[in-house]
Amino acid sequence: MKRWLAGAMFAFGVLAAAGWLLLRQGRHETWPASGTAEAAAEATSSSPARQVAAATSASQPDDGAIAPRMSAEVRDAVPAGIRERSAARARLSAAWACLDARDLDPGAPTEIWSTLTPEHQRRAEQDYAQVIAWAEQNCRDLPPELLEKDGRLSLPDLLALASTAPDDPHWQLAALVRERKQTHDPASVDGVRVALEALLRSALVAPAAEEMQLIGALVSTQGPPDALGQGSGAHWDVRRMVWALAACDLGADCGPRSPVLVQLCLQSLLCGYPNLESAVIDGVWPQGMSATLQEERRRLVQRLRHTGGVGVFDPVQQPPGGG
Amino acid sequence: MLRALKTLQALARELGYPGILPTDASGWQRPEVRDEWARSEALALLADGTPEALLGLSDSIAGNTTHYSAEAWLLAACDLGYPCNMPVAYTRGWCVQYGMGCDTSGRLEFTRQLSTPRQWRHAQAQRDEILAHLRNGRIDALMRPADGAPGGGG
Repeated sequence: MKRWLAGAMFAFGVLAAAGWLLLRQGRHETWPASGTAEAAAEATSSSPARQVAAATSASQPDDGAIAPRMSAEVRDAVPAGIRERSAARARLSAAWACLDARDLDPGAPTEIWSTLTPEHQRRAEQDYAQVIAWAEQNCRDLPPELLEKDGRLSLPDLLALASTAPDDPHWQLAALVRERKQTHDPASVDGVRVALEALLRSALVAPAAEEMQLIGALVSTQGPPDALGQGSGAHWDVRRMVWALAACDLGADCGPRSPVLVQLCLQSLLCGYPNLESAVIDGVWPQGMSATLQEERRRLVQRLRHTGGVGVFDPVQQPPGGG
Repeated sequence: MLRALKTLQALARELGYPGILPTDASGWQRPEVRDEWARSEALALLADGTPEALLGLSDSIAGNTTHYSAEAWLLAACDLGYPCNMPVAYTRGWCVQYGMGCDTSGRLEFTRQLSTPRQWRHAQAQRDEILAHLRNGRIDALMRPADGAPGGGG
């Protein structure tokens, strides 16, 4: 009886700790695959992704407070491919920031900022006001189809938004993710790996934190543990920021007005930070994991710099005798 | 086992305790029933007022009915004398499974490591508020709902 009771108490303790951690982690990106391959191939003007594309690309360049406006002269001098890529990135950042920001409270959230320094608090209030104004302008026309039934973000739709054409790796990965019946399906994980490699090659041409964040999210959610590289398969919100920060190291814009920081301010009230790294360290990464995640980021950047990311999604070899 | 739980629940009710979280015939916990139950448990724990009871608020859904985070209730319990640096078995399990908390066995440090710096600062501020309300016997203030008016932290 005593042993049973001790066992039950231990199990309860572990369950309570696990449940508490999950609650504490707040929003988790558990993106279910949705739709069908036919739906993915159907690049029609009525798809939610296209609707958001139209809405966000129309409004995005006009928002000088969040993203610097490009002059007509400069815009004309930029090759069409790069312009399309920039527009796709703008759609991705806008949709990603907007999707979780539907129940915005326009009042400044004073309590969560009460432990900041007065100067940081002032900057947070200022940034939040700007981000809310941006969201009111850009998030209004978000089609409800972009949200899954349970209100979570649809990863294939995000990928489709970030694509410029049906032969774009984003679009191809969106189709693949939609086809999969389970995110941890080992039968299709090889296909995901190949598509991720193509996506990474495309992203590394001109790294952007929002695109690399998307790759980090895919790596965390689209395979069994360690099937898509070191640390993959963990559903933790923390890992996508390893990829976003790696983009910063590779030259992406991670300053106070950068898209991922706008997203963090809108969704997690991480506002007023001078750069993405300071926001992530203060408000995303658990203190006990920070050093490990920084090391993971350092190794990732090293691999991306030296090998262009070749083999970065390869399965981690298990030590012999593990089973 | 199920019969034993039902007996336990009935006994608890007779003795004036909230008892086990009630479910319907299919095992489903209706949200409104769950919230009401959690609130009554929170009130019972606050009436108890011991460090162990505050820890109970940190560990159960009772704490979710209040404005304060699980970390804040834990910190308050520690401040009132709960031995938060005493080794806890589950931290070893976390170390083996997730590589976290390997250099600590106490609950306080383990919880700090699981928190972001912002969460920890916030929890410390909330702890001070909890302790102040406890000193003044303000159970009503401690039971302020989770989505209540802002400004509690200053």
